[in-house]
Amino acid sequence: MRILLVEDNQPLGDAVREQMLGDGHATDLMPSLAEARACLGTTAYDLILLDMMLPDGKGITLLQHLRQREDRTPVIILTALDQISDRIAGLNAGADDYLVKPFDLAELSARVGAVARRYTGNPNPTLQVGELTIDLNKRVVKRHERSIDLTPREWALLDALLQRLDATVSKSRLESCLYDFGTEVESNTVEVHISRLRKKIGREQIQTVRGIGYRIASAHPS
Amino acid sequence: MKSLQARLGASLALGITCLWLIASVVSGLVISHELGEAADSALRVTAQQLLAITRQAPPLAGDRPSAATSTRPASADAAAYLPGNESAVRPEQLHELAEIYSLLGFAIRDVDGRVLHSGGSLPDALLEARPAGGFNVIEGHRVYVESSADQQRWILIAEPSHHRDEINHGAIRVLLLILPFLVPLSLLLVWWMVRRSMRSVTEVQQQIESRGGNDLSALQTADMPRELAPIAESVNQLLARLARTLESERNFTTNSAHELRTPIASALAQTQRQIASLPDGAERLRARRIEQTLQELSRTCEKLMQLARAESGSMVGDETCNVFPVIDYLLGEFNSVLREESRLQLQCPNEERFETVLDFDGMAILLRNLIDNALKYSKPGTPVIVRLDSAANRISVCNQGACVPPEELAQLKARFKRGSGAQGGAAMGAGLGLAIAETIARQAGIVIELHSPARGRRDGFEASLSTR
Repeated sequence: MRILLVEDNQPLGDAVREQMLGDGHATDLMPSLAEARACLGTTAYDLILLDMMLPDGKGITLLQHLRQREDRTPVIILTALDQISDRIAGLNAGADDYLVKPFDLAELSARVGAVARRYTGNPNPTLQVGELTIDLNKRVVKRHERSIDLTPREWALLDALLQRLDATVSKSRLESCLYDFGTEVESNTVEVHISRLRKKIGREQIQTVRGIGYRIASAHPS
Repeated sequence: MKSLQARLGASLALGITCLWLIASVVSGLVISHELGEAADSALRVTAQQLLAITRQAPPLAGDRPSAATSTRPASADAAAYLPGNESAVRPEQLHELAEIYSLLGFAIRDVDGRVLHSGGSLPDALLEARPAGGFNVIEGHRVYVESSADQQRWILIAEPSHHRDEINHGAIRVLLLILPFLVPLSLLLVWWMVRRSMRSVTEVQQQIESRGGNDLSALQTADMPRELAPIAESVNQLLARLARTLESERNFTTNSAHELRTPIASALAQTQRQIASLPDGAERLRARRIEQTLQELSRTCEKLMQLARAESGSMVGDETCNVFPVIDYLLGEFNSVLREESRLQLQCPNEERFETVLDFDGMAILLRNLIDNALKYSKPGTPVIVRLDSAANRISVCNQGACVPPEELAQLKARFKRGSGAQGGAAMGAGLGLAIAETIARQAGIVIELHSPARGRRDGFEASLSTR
């Protein structure tokens, strides 16, 4: 997934970004509402991690703005405001989840996964795709009961394809899932990683839709 | 509590009554004095008239005997001016003299003391008396003695004192007779006037009474009397200042929460990233310890923030409301975090309703602390029951686990008093959870009762909330 992280505390932002990258999500860290708005104007994100108290305003205004323009991008609020009324206000404004600082990064990863799955219409964290058993929570892929090790970028590609089961995911969208904002993208990077992923999980699992992108078919929830 | 209106009414009524009584007494005295002077003046004029009338008249034997009668010469001429010889005087004089003699007595003597003329009802003692000139009181009579201009005769004229007393008493009686009507009437008038005058004060009182302790809006000062307006304005200034202070306190708590939580979150996140990048070994173990310390610091920080909010009293509203939605939300949040949905169970046999003056945040903190404790001190895997009895307006949180000794139970609400039976490796708390709950509950008029074993069980712990 491609995630927009809006957090003004640089060390915290870096740690969260690193965690998300480790989970295979390309993450752009923006320290203010203005910069976040600029990013949202140019890039399609799969999920937004939004701090509430930012130097140039409250995060909830950005959330309200998104929902007013019918943007359904999942939003998880990360905030130091711990009152239940703040949480209810955040959720009422259209947030998908609410995490109070300080939080465990593992819990954040789980929440991100849960929200992403909810948006794909399959809240079950365990998927059966052909011979593959995939646990999205634990980030484990097994084939015939044998675990397959994936790099974060391979996992990011697999995750992006699993989010749109039976649908074609464009190459550009897969590219955006692989790289941080601003990183130079080479023309064949997606192909290289798809090729490696195919070797690990089976060539037949990922289909190429020529000129458009890739897809994973025949996925059946366990 | 004393009523200003009652006190003012009573004081005014008492004052008016006392003033009226004093005025009556003074009036009585003045009337008595003035009547005395008028009567004295009339007595003197009568004496002078009698002296004048009898100046030319020869002595006459009185119509009544006296000690001096034997020396009293008779005179037919003089008798013409006196009772029994009315033809010699004018008709109007006759009438005046008839009235005078019905009340007065007199005796006119010569320089040797012989009674030349006498009349009216004059006691014998006065006939023989030789008082000095002017006014005297002798034998129950007001007596006036005056000599003629040629000093050859002198007159003693007397009026019974009881006659004057009757006039005085009559006047005083009239004054006193008015009192039984006038005093209640004045009291009624005073009550009405005080009540009317106090209407503005009552309106201010009602304005203040009708608002709860948390309504800090300004009092209406329009159409307020000049005397009350400065008070209301001062109260408004105080309310505004209080509102600013409370708002600043709330902002401080919010800002403190942000300023404390964010660096802890940052440290914890970086530590966890460090742990993820370290291989198993001493370094990783040390990083784990730092992570645990930061987690403990985070919990303590949260409790202290909750305590600060609880003590500020800002979570208590003016009116009761049903806080079930927040109970339901909180349980949902717990279950989503616990990921063992069967553990925390809500039992709600009646209506989904719990009425309290606490706002959602206060209720959430209160219940969260009770649930945190119930989970921490229960046997792993056993259910924690949150029971809502809307009929009794009671919530109880009950777990299964070892009983808490009575001496420990009695002290659990004290600050920094930690329970001794955390289960399943649960982290030791800060010992503030129940103290925070108790502080919030007390402000909202909620009673927290602790039972161990839980009611209806042989083990476990139960904390129940009920409104007074």
